[in-house]
Amino acid sequence: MSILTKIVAVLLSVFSLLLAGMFVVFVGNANNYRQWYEEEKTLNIALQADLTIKGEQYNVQVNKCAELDKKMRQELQSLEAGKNQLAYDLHKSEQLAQKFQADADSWKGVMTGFEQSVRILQASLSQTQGQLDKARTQGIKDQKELNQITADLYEKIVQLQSLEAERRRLLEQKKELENRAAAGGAYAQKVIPVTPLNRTASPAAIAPAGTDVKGLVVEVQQNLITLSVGSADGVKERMVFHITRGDRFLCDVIVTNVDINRCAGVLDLIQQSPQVGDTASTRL
Amino acid sequence: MAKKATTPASDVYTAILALACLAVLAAAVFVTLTCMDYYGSDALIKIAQIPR
Repeated sequence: MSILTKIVAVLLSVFSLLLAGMFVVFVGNANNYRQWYEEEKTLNIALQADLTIKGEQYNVQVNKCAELDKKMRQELQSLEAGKNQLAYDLHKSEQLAQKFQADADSWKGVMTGFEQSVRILQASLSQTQGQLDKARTQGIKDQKELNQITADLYEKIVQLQSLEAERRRLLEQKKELENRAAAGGAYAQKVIPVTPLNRTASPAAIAPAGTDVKGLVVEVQQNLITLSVGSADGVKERMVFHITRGDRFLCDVIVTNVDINRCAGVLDLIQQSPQVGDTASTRL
Repeated sequence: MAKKATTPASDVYTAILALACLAVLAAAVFVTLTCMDYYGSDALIKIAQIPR
């Protein structure tokens, strides 16, 4: 074997080894394009399906948007109509407000006049109320005097009746004496008149102080009250009556005017307004 | 004609050539198996066909 043959054999072997190694390395590092293709194909199918679903969803959403747009347009039209109606109502309301404002201004002037009239009437009422109270007080005093005069009149009448009876009795005695004198009887005999001797009138007994006096409310006029008991029952001025209704305390009454069978006073410690028929007592 | 017996001049170079042939054969087998693994058994046949 020649040297050239040996060299060629060695080089052939070396290059064969290098080429085989490079080839193995190249094939070992080569990509699996089929696997890539399958993966990409699967991914493409999935994406196509997803695209189809998205397209359907897009169409659905587009339809919904179209419906919503239609509804919104209808609602917008109705709102526009409502807006126009409201604007018309607002204009009408403003006109009414102006009219009412003018009326209010006129009524304000009228009310101012009324207020002045009411003030004048209130002042007149207060003055009249004071005059009325004075008149009531005067009336109570007059009633008291009238009762006193009536009592005096009754007393005078009783005295007059007594005197008339006395006169009759004396006339009867005189007539009897004249009859006896005419009959000639000289004996004197005591003449007994037919008319009995009457008692003179005397005032009623006044109840002693400190006793319980009870009566009823017969008249109520604002701050004045009239009771059914008077001086004949022992009532005096500045006495205090307690007005009750059942077991409930209503107020106190300080007596200011006393009549024979009635008295009047002012209210005090008012818990509740008394009424006609409530009980008045000096002791609770 | 009498058959002439051939004998290698040196076993070393024979071994080197045999080793080179084994390496080439092993590379061819590796490439074949890899191609079958990647693209299937038909790939070895279809790879030589003219693509339609």
